[in-house]
Amino acid sequence: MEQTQVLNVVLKKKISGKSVAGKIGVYILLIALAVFFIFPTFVMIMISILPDNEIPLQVLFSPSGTIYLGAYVEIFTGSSSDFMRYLFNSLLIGGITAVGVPFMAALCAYGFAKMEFKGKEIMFGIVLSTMMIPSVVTLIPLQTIFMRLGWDNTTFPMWVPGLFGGGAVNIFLIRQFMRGIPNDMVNAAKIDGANSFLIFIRFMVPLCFPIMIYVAVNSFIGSWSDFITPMTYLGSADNPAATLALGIYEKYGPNNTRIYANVSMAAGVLMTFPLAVLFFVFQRSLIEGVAVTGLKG
Amino acid sequence: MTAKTKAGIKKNVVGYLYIMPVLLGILIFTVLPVLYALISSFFKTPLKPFSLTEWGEFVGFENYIQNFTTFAYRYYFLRSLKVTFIYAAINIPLTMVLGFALALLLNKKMRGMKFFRTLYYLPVLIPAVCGGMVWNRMTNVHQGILNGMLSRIGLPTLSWFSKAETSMASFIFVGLFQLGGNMILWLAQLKNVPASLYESARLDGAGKLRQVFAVTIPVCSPMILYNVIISVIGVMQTYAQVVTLTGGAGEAYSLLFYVMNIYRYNVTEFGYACALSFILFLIIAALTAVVMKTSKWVYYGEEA
Repeated sequence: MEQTQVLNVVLKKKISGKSVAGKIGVYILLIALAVFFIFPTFVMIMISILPDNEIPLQVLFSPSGTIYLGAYVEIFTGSSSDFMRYLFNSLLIGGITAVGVPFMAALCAYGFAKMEFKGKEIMFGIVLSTMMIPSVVTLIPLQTIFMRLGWDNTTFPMWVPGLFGGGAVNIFLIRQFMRGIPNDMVNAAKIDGANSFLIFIRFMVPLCFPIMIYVAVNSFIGSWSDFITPMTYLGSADNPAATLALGIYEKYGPNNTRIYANVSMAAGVLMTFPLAVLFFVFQRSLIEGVAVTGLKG
Repeated sequence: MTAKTKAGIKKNVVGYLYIMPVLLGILIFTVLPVLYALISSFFKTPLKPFSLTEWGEFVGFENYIQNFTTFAYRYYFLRSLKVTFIYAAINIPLTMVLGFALALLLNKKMRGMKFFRTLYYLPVLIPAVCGGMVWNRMTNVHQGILNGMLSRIGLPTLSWFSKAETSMASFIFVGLFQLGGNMILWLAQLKNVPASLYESARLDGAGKLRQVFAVTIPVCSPMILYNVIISVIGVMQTYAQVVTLTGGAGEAYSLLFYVMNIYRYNVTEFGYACALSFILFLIIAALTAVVMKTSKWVYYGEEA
């Protein structure tokens, strides 16, 4: 009897000792992976603050210990720099998208979630089926339409399509959210004489705010990072409507070898920084959103 | 007309008014361009403004046929198809398996997991243009930091994107930094697995590994199917990541992806570019169908 008790104690100790070692092992692995994932971002930041003459040394930390901000100054004030124009265009497109997309998507979602009309299910099926169409199939011919409309040198191609319903995924998401709101509330407001649009503005929008914020932030990130749209429709960074993605790619990207690496990396830091801020503010909502939609932006 | 039918009509009109934006959007920005591209794919024409009267020279199926018969077109078509397929065949399973492994690791009940989750997800957020620039500089054979580090610790340097043999491997390696996106999907799924299932598996004497294969994967299988389909649609259209990383120079080094091939022609031979995009559409549809048809392994829970 006593023997088994002793044995048990010994065993327990062994197990807990093993699990402590296991835990340390897991943390070491976690930290190693963190170093791996953060490495490119770290390199981008470190090289952006290296002085010009230390770049060929292939170092991450300045041997002379200088923190050089000249690369950033050059981007903002350089005589041939169009960075401010790109930034303005991207902010304009991102701002319109971040407000317009969630609002329009909520409007359509409201129709699908709370209205009764003939052919609703079929219409919803059609909306969802557009998710399956590869974007390349529409990207190329849309250019002819934008050319006909005279949108070649404008920011319209980057934000107008988004305002038409805000995309199937967003409509689906907001509709799911609205279906969770009890109809009693809507009906009570109806009895009070409020029409459906008033109900939408007064009740639905405030109640759906969490999901609309998610759609807003996600749309902003999407439009900010979008490369293929401005590349296809605007052609070059000299276009007055060029966005950050297009401008940075052409002026600081892989095809411009005359630019020092520090300037190139500084441009990358400047473009990534607003997204990093947004991410840290809306972290929970964004990560949960990815988990729900299965789309990584 | 009775008051009742009037109310019914009004109901329908109001309903359609709400969904009007998205219906118009689908009509203008999906149906119209798809039809226009379909018709254009039977014509020889350069890129020109949208017009219903000027289509160019009618050539029937020539744009589709030349793709397989004329050497110059066939060469780039097959090469881009091969590159895209190889990438999809390696990248999709690899990211799913590694993403799953990462999620299992982060699903442990230990302190600080949220912090690590955030760190791992962060690279997903970096715009393709910025990520491409960083990797382009880092993998530079002579001045890049990666080769610098390798040679400093006495290892041979790598040719990265400067040689055909190593380009694809390098591109897949760079893609690994985006694993955080896949990891988040898995993490959400892992939370949905009922603890009772693990409990009964454990009572049946199943070890940790056995539990993963007998419980976790079957319960997550609908998400795996969905994720495979979404990944196929996405990966077959790989474009921005390659162009921003190599500046288009990757074409010569076995990184000519299908969409890059479309962009070779979209201005000068618009009709042919449209044909190419429809062929891609068909390939994606066929792949999706194959995935769906072979999805007997998906477990949809007990029918209630």
